[in-house]
Amino acid sequence: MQIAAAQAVEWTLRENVEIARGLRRRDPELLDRLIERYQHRLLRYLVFLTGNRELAEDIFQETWIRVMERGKQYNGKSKFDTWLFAIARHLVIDWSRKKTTTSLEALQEQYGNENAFDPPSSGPSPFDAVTTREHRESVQAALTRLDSLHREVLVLRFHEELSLEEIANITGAPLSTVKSRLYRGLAALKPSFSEAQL
Amino acid sequence: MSRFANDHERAFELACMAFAESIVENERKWLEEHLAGCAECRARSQQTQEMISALKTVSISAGVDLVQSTRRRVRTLCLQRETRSRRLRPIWISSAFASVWMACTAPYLWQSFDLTGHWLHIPDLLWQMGFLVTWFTPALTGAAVALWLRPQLTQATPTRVARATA
Repeated sequence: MQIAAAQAVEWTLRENVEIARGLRRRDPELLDRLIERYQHRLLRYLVFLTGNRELAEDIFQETWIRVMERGKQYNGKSKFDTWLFAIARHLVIDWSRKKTTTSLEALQEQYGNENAFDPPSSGPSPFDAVTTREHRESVQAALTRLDSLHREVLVLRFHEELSLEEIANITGAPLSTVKSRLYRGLAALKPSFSEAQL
Repeated sequence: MSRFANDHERAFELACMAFAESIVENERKWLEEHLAGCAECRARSQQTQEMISALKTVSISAGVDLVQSTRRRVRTLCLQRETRSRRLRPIWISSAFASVWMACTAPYLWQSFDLTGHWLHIPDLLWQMGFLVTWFTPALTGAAVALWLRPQLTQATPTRVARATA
């Protein structure tokens, strides 16, 4: 068991180094593979963060362009997805600053829409959509009422399954703040979730 | 003084932390004991767990168009950057050559211009001007090449990528 875990860690490290090398060369094949691999996770994170699908798609494109431009900065020591999400987050913040809003919460108030979490037509199969629809709708309703900072931590932890340390790296917040946001997010989500289920 | 208003609040926070990551042994024991004796907290914890499970069911996928247009743009930009760096290479090489030339030849050039100037009775200002022109020739040539290439480099620089409409 331990050997398998160690092998998995070693494999991940080696893969990260390969990604770093490829990004330094601006290898288009590698970038293609990365876009393919992280497409849903990145877009999901951006949709959750901005609360607006159209804006999330714009930033999705910009994120990959930034990855290509700043690829030399990725050293392969950290996980690629952590680095990718951090870039996406910075772009969202840059965008919100340009629009003279002051925070992610303000962004949500300004651009949040009810259809942000709707899956596209080419998303999951109809069967999946039907079986998960009720739950999804209630969570969706509850999530839209949550502020961006809390929603972000919940999504990164429970949806993207990142560790709290990785979330702290992405958000640039201390670990204690991440824990606090997680707890407060769950506490704030609960009443909305219960209400949505009624 | 405890930061929790009461045991129920503590139980809820510990339960949240337990779902998010492992908690330390004594906290886990305390939580289990509290949940065993408190139906309200047990229900709350159960509901939080259901909420987390439901959170995982929210499905958002990237559309095929979005992914394809992103790949296309990134690929195009990669090629543009590659072309740009290829075009910049001669400028770097000529700059390096000019710097080396200027550093190595300064004393010899100065001496030869000085000697020639005195031998041919050329006014000091004139041979000194001649020295400067000769000394700066490689750098000026490099600058001229850079200026000549500049419009092409500007064209090669990608403009800000707009939203994909493909």
